Amino acid sequence: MNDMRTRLRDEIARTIRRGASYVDVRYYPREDSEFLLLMQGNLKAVDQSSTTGLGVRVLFKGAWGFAAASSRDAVAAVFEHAFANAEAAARLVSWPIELAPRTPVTARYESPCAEDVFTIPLHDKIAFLQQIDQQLTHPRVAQRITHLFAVTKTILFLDSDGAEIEKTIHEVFAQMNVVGVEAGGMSQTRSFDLRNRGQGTRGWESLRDPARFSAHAPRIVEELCQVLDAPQCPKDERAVILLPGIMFLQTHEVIGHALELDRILGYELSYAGGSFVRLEDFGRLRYGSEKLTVRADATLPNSPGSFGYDDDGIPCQSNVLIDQGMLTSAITSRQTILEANKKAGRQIFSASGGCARASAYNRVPLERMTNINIDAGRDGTLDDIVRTTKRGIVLDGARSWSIGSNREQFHFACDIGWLVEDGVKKGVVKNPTYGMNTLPFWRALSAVGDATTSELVWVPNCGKGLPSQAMFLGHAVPICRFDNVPIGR
Amino acid sequence: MHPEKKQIQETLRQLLAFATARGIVAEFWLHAEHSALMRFANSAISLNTTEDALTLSVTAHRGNALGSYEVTTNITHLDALQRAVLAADEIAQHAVPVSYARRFTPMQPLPDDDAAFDETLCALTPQAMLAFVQDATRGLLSATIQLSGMFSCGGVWQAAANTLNDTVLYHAATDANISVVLSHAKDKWELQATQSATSRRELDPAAVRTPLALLLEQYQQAPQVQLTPGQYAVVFGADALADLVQFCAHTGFSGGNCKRQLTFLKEAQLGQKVFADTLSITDDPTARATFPYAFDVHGHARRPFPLVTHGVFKAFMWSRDDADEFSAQETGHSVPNLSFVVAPGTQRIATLAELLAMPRKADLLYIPHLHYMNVVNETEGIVTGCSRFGALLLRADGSIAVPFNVRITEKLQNLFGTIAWLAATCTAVNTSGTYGRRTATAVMAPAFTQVNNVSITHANPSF
Repeated sequence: MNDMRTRLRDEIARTIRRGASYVDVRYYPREDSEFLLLMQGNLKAVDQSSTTGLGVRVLFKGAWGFAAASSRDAVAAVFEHAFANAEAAARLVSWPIELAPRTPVTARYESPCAEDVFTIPLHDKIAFLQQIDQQLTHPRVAQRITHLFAVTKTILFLDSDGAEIEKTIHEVFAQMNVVGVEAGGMSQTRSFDLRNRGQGTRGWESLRDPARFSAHAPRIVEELCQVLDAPQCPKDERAVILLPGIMFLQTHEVIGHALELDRILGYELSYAGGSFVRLEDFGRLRYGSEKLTVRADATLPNSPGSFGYDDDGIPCQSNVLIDQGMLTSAITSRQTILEANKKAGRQIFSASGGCARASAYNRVPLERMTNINIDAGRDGTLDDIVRTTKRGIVLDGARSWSIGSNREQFHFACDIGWLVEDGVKKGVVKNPTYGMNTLPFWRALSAVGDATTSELVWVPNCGKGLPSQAMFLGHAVPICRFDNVPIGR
Repeated sequence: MHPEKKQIQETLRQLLAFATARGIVAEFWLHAEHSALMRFANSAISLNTTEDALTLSVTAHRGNALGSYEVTTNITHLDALQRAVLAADEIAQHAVPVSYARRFTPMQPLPDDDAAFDETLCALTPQAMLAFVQDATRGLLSATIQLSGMFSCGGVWQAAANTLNDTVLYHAATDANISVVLSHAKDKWELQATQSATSRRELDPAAVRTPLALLLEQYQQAPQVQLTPGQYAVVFGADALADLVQFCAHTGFSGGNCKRQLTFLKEAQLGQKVFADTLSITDDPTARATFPYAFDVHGHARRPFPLVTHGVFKAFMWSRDDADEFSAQETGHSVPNLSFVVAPGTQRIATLAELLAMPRKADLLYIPHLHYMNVVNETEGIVTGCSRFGALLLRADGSIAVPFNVRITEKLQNLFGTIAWLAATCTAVNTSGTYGRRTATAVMAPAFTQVNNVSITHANPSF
């Protein structure tokens, strides 16, 4: 590693001498992953991988060039390509990229992990999945699917400002899913993902804790059986009460993505889309009701959205994005905040929010969600919220999601719904869906559960960017109620 | 920096020998790529990237138990590649056998599948990419009309082998995927024109500029309108139709998913009419524009495979693993991509200008592109997604309006069952993702397809 560090430092210095204004490199000496998939008791996949590579980012005359290679032998060539790419990009610049100032740091970070998944014998991991598979076995379950995905990676970050950060990140994700078939042939599904409350560690021990994963197996089977016998979700307008298993996605899609500053500035228009949010909205737009306070909090001890330092070398931080319903800030990085301030004609952002991340050595850092969380409220438990609901539906499980290109509206389908009538949770309905325009929806937020209702849901697959990247992150969300939402469409 | 054909083939033979000498039974898939992507936003190059990578995937067999190991490294690091072979075998030793018999067959010798490789496209310079985009947008940009988009091009070099013999199958191909987007600086609408190419000579900036210019003219002049949700006659552009056809791959045509109760098409519908008479869909690896593979990852030779012929459902696609599990016949569908070809119709409308000029008795909603499609219910075949990149309302009186984006929520059976006509001209729609390894994918689709009675379930009040 020390030899490599020296070579990389030399190449950074050489590239600066050629005229680059900024250079950074992320070297992955090793990234290991493991994926185990059990379907109907059959071990369909036991896939392990090992990756080595480096990615170099060069800023030249206000334009980015990036190059990557899976070969450690190609260090000089990768720097050369990145510089050439930046030179080419500098031929068409409309707003020269200017990085926000920061103090470069030398630091190390390791995500909390008590038992490294990669040190656990394979047969133990298989046995664990088989045990869950047995719990999912039921005459009415037509398909049982359980998977485990773990990643450990070490990243050395060096830049031309003198920053030097070495990170080791451990991640583990798991999901169980059951599919059943109604008498009429329509299938229904119910699933559960490994999650926690943002504390503790995130190794094999998190999977072994029954309360966090395996103990949910009988529940999802029972709920699937209820859905299979349930009537169709009515086409109606009701209060929707979202449990964390769908509330996380609601937060992700139409708060998280809508507040990525690169989207707001138009840098994602050719693929992921833009945002209905405009620069003039910061500090002025009522995004939601007064019950809505949202943070981008990468300081939670335990979540895929906590990573020590971002890929600009900025320390992780917690920032309020929406304060009692008012839009205050965005998901930001060094490369966008000065541009945003200048275009807005005022200072909206005082420093990078530390949200620049790349999913792999061969991808460029982008503004990505960290942990986009909703503050717990004072409206009690699920029972308390149901008790104060005249006509509503409790929803859980993210079955399908589709969002407008500016995040201005959305459509979600859930695994299960329970109708609420006169303050009482009634029977289950199948195929529940809901959808609405974004701002009226968040402004209709009428109840936010207390801290006991909050769960941190881990997300392994947030897509964005070209070349595209699937990012790991999290959402700590309480149970929330929204009034007068169209359902069943 | 990419490896040569001979080097790839020789490396795989060395790995075959290494495995065989140790009694290891294994399959190999080697993937090398060179990728370049220039991204545009706010009328600038927002990112200019290149990548060179090589990955070896090894799947070791121990009876009916499998173990897979993948290493991303340099082809000259033979020790790392050999360690992957040992690691895969180690995993297979500890894996649990599946309850069904797994097929494992020798590779059948096939000619090298690299005729479509074009070095000039693979090595296209950033200057050439920029020149293309500047040509495609000449005269269209202004302070309020800004350029976004991407120009992705590159090549792959792939090889398959297994320890049952020393045959090494080889595939190499090049591709370009171009998306040119014009966006309004304040009004938050975007227009797009795309192009797909297998070789440099197919690059044609004028073919991108012409529809963009026409769309831009409409968006700058025609009145904007919020539609009322309801049933509409919709003309889908080739991009939108390709998206819908691809959703059928998993929710309609997959034999394994059918057995798992996750498709809207059922076994009982084989041989039955499920879609409109005018619709025929084939997975056709002879269609060069779809970046086809002559063989799948197990070395199974691929041939044209009719899925729907004149509306009649002809066959499910079977990967080897699904075929093994459900005692079916594999169909060469353990493959990095599919080569869907939608047969052309008879409507003589090849261009957007011709569509706009077409006499019409009722309003038509033109949707060139669908954004963020997803499956609401697999067995019902319900999908949902939004219009984007240049929808138009073509009124019966000949006038044209610009609708704010709308949401479609509809059954695929209805969409493909109420086709009024398909254009006689087809185009290649590049549907490649850029998440993982370079895997060029395209669908050949009619330039325009009219579908009646499409459910518009939400209409935006503005852009």
